[in-house]
Amino acid sequence: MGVGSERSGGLGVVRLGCWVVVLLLGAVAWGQEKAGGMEGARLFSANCAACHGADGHGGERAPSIATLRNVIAMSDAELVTVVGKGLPGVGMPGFGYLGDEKVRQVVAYLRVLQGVGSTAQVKGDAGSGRALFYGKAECSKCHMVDGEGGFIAAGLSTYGKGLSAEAVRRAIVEPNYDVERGSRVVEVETSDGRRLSGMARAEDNFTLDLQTEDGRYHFLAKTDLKSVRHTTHTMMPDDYGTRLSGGELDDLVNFLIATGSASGSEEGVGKRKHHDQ
Amino acid sequence: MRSGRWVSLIALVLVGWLGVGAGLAQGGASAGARGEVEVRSSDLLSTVLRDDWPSYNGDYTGRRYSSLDQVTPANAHELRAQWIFHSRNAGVLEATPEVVNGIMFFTGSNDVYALDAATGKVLWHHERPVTEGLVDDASGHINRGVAILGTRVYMETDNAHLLCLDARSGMLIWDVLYASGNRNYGATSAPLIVKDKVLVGTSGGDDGVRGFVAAFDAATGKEVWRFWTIPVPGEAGSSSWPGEMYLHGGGTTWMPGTYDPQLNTIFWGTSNPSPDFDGSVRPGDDLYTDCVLALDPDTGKLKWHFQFTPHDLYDYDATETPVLVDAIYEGAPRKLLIEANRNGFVYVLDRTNGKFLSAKQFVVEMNWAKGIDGAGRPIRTENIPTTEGTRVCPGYAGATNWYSPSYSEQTRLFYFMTLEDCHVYTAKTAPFEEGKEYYSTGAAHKRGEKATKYLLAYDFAKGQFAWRNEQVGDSHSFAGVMSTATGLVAFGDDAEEFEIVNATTGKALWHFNVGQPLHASPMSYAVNGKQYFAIAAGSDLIAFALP
Ligand code: HEC
Ligand code: HEC
Repeated sequence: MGVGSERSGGLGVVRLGCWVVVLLLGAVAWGQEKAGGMEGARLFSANCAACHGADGHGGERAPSIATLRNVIAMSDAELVTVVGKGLPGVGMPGFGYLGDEKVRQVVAYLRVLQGVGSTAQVKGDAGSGRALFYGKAECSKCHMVDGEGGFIAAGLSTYGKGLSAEAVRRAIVEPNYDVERGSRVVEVETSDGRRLSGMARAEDNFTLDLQTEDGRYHFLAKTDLKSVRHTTHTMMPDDYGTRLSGGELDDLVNFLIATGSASGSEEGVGKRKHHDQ
Repeated sequence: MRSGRWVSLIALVLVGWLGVGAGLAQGGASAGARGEVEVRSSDLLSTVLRDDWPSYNGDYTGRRYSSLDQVTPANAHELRAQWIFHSRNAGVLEATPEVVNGIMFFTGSNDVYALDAATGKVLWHHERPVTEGLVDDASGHINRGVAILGTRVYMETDNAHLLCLDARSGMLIWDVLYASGNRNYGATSAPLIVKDKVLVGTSGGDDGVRGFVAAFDAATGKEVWRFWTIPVPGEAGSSSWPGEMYLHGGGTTWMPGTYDPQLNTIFWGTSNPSPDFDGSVRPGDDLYTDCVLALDPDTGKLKWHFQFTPHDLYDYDATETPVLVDAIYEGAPRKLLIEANRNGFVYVLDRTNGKFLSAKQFVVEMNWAKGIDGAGRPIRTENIPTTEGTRVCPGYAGATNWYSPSYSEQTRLFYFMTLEDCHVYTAKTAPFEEGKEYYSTGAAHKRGEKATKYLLAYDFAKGQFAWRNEQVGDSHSFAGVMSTATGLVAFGDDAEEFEIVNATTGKALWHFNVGQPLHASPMSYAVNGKQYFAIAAGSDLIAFALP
């Protein structure tokens, strides 16, 4: 399952050593066993991987079910229903014929892929994490929690809900591990030599709607562009693993998980979801 | 907590860039360049609608009159569809899109979309699940649009929450539940911005809730005032509401009001009383149902009210747009309020004091009233709902309804869609029950009777109709009207077509089959010097322009 390195390779971006990846894979393997999951893993690769990818992060024929917030937010019961019955008309087959037990095992394994469900004690202090979020770490310049903060990146009020500490930590120290298309930085140069960089909020063969960090949308015609480069990284700094100490990262992780668990609001779920038709 | 144009954070900035398209969008009401949302409350005071359409009715007058002049009677036949936006989860869309600097905001069922107004592409989408267990209109998860102020967008949810979102990303800034204590409350309207406040109302007027208009601080979401439309025991008008009836009297506020900054007054319509058809439990006039309320936007204090249908027994909500017109009337310049009411009369009031000036019957079949007296009160007939049923005209879908009317400064005519229809009304006293509608029985068509829609042009100065266009169709459309400075009237007709007619003559100029029911009102905007018309149909939003 060595997808991480494959996806993030060749970007010329400073990355963390592979040891993080090793650690993460270790965590996945551990979770897998805990979920009684060898059978779940086998069922997943036999039945789901062809469409959703070996790691559930999406493939040619189906979206990521490991990282999409609205899928993570579904309850186990909802997942069991979707997997059992399928989604007629949109290409997601039903697997009810496998039997309830096997469907549950696949769902349990999907939870492992999502990094959901670890009830292990989360280290760190949420109060210090909050201070870092709005202070030194400058997370709030891009992210909003409970209505306060920036707007350019995803809101994180409910993000940490049910996530394991490992998954949250990875999202912070390795932001380009698995970047959804809409979150990638796009760099363009116009025919008259001007450069712009931001996120492609909408794009087709003819137009590109680029949102720059100041929030402004630039409605660009492709005919007016000299070049368009879709990078594979996000706007998020990728050096938090070295900029922040291990203890500070624990604090941030704790803050996001505590905030998410305390939050009753629906913010974050399905937010900034692109119109996927 | 408004974030300004903060300095860039990391190396990721636009280098030496000043903005594509800057300077192209001229004549818009708001500050900021194309692609930037920044609406000051002073921008909303403009009554000249050009590139932008920044609120539900475009501007505070509610006229839906666009000054854009690219599309004319001479070239309207060349209009063609530019793009279609398909929303996946709404029923029949009822919203009017709003446009600021090339960005369009549009709503479906608990969904807000920001679209590229030139292409219809989605820039962001804020969604939350629709609410289960709601009653009546709210259970249809209807939503009619947003309100915009600063860099924020406001929306009501089906279960009467007011959401404040960041207009640049759709991120939730705050969320306030504003109607509680009765789960029959819901919300379907677009909010209205007045100065630094967001004003909202609720649905549930057929379901035994108590209506109100409430104002919230746009920055913090803190409630500033609330005007209850049903008085509590002891207050003026309370004799209609014995015991606990005031808690279930209806008078809801499910469409945005209009606003006159000079008079510092908002004009807000209220719905029918609850229960709809059984008047025995609510004797008297049933204030303040079926009224237009003139309220102070700073305090919520009532300045005056005018009641169109005292003691309504027919579901004649007065939530139709109270359109603000300044014109010569009977020889003198007047500040008028014109409203085509569901009860079958179109009214002209003096909006400085609520004084009745005139009423004109606009449907042919009318049997609940013989006319309107000199004080503006209906002269009633004996036709009231009974246990056996009584045929009454207009029917309970109204002689007109919430779909927008329009007033053209060019032709000085008032345009609106009407419905020629009757129903057999039955009534029986029943107790209020939470979780259920509160009509106290119903209304049905008499077998074989067919309804017909008409598009009307009313010359209020003369008290005459300039023209009346019969519409072919099944009479199930709920589409509004708008007009332009070039002498066009655009509307959704009754045969699933978006249509444009000559405002002076009513003669058809162009039509387009949208192939889906029309339950929304049209608007017009411009991007990069190109004028568009947009209207929602079925689950789609469609934009039109010249080639
Ligand atoms: C033939 C291809 C295919 C296979 C095989 C497949 N899926 Fe899917 N799946 C899809 C598609 C396509 C969608 C997206 C549907 C949509 O448009 O929302 C989807 C969506 C989902 C969703 C998200 C549902 C939602 O409501 O958003 C889940 C969860 C899911 N699949 C789980 C699984 C699991 C578990 C398996 C294996 C047991 C599996 N899928 C096998 C094609 C497939
Ligand atoms: C310069 C802007 C920026 C800064 C600063 C920033 N991030 Fe991010 N972050 C992003 C972007 C962009 C993404 C990609 C997802 C998206 O498009 O919103 C992201 C993704 C994330 C995610 C994953 C969200 C998800 O829904 O999958 C988390 C968690 C996160 N950031 C946490 C943080 C924390 C904690 C900090 C501070 C230590 C921080 N970020 C600082 C821009 C930023």
